[in-house]
Amino acid sequence: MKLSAHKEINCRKVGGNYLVYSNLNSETISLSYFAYCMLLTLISREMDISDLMRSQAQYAKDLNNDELLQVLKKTINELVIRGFIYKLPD
Amino acid sequence: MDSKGILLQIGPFTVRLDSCIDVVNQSVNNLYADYNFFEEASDIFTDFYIRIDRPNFYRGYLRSQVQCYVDGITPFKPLPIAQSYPFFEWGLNWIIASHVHYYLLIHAAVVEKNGHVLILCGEPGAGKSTLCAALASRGWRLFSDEMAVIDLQTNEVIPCVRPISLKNKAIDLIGKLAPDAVFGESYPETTKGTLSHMKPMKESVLRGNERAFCKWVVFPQYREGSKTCLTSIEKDQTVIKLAKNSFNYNALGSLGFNSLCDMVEESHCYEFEYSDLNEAITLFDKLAY
Repeated sequence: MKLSAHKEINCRKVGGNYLVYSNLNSETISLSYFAYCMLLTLISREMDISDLMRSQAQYAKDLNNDELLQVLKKTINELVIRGFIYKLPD
Repeated sequence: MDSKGILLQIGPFTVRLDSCIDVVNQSVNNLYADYNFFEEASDIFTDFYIRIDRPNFYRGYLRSQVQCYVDGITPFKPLPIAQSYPFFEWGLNWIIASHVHYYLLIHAAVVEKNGHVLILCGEPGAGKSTLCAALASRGWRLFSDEMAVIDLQTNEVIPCVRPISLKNKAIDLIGKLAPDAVFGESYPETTKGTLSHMKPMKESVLRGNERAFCKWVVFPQYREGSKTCLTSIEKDQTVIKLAKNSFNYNALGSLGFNSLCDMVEESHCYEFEYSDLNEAITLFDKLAY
């Protein structure tokens, strides 16, 4: 299963914080640095979860693989629910 | 004023007001006395046309009601004729908030000092108009009591100077704080309680074309008996709170998001709790120097 970011989203760093806006539902939410980097990665290209794990590992060096996978899945789930990213069928 | 109405330049908007109701004309002549009234209406583009008039025989004469016609439509139910002048102000708020999508509009009071804009944003009843009137009466230049108008290209805040709408206890409070301030009629029993409008200071009106950049975004909260307390807040939370208080953020899409982020990036952001207006004025004066 691959993941992709909607084209209509806009990520920004403001001060020391991270925000994302969706033109689809006009929602603006605050992001962690981890989620921000993940979104930027998915905006640049679609990716499956194992590639995303490798890419995101650098932003969560204190987590082991299981913990990273859990954080990643939770972040993906939140961003899918809020309409910022979507899952592509295989 | 004749029956064809008058043209008023209010910030970036040209407004035509037409009313046969004396109290409306008298209030406008009093509260907008320092404004640019256009005599020749024929060759000037009018952004909004507001007519305050009796709705029909039954509602207008038997029940003494008044209607607000905004660009020919009636978005509101008629009100008692005693509320004719506030109806003009509410009608103007409504038409700007619902039609102007070439600026970012945020429900906020705005003042300026030393070239820097302070945006006071909050829910109705948070005390932003009271604080705005207090600062305006102590040397801050009034931009608006009702909305921050932000240029989407430059992120400058644009003055839209109008009378400050004060409610209930705030009327006496500002009357005592600023004895020289000019107030219009008092309107009891409106949906917001007793209402009165404070005439904007002449300098604010005369400098109505001078834009400035935002330096402070503050979310005030009046709480009786509370200490004066200014607390920094994160910029992401500031953007989200401003977006929630914007009239047209959703309509503007990414343009509004980027404009808001750019403005907040350059601003200091605070929550502010207060009960003493003099302490509040001292604090903001220090901030401005």
